[in-house]
Amino acid sequence: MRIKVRYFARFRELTGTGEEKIELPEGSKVRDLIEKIKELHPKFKDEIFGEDYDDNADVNISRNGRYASFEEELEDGDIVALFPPTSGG
Amino acid sequence: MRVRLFKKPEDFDINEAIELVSSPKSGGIVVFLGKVREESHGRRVKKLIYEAYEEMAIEEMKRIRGEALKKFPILDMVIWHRHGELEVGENTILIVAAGKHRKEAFEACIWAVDEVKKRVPIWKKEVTDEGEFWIEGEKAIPDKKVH
Repeated sequence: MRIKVRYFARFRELTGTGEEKIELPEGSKVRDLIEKIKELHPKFKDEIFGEDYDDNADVNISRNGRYASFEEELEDGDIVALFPPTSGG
Repeated sequence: MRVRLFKKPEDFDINEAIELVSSPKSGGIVVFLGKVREESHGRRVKKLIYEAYEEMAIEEMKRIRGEALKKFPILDMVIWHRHGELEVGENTILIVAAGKHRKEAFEACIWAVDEVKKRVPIWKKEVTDEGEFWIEGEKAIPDKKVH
């Protein structure tokens, strides 16, 4: 299946792209997509998923416009976004 | 529209926002207007560059408005946010809460501002006299593109 992945703010700069398509086997979860993204973008992996990385604090993930967990199962055509903690206001 | 993103040079018409929530039932309307401040973490700010994940930001702002209307006995709420390159003194966020009484309007307004900061996918990059910094939650991270 094919997932559209979007990156924002510093994550966009670290991956060097705002958007890309990633192929994954059926039944893949958000966690599997993240592993694939780490392979594709070593700089992003080193900077964000380094030694003091914290699942709950450092990376936000949304699936089709809603916050999603690492365990959520993906479907073909999903739009998944990865972004840092927000700072609006 | 009670929930809206404004891309600079578009700006808020505060009277329009107040008009949207006004009704004979409301005895108190609280307006919070956020602005770009000239200083951050001791650094002199030149401007803030706001980036938004627009589609999701709108949805999340709608969810916050919906939750505020359930959580507090308010009558109506406007949540507006700007993005783009905003100079010192420019408007960034506008939250307007209308209540029968002032207490719930103040409380809902404070709650909504905090929720927007925590949840709505908008980020700011500070352009300061010491370089550029991504702001991520409470952290300020130097932008490596310029250092």
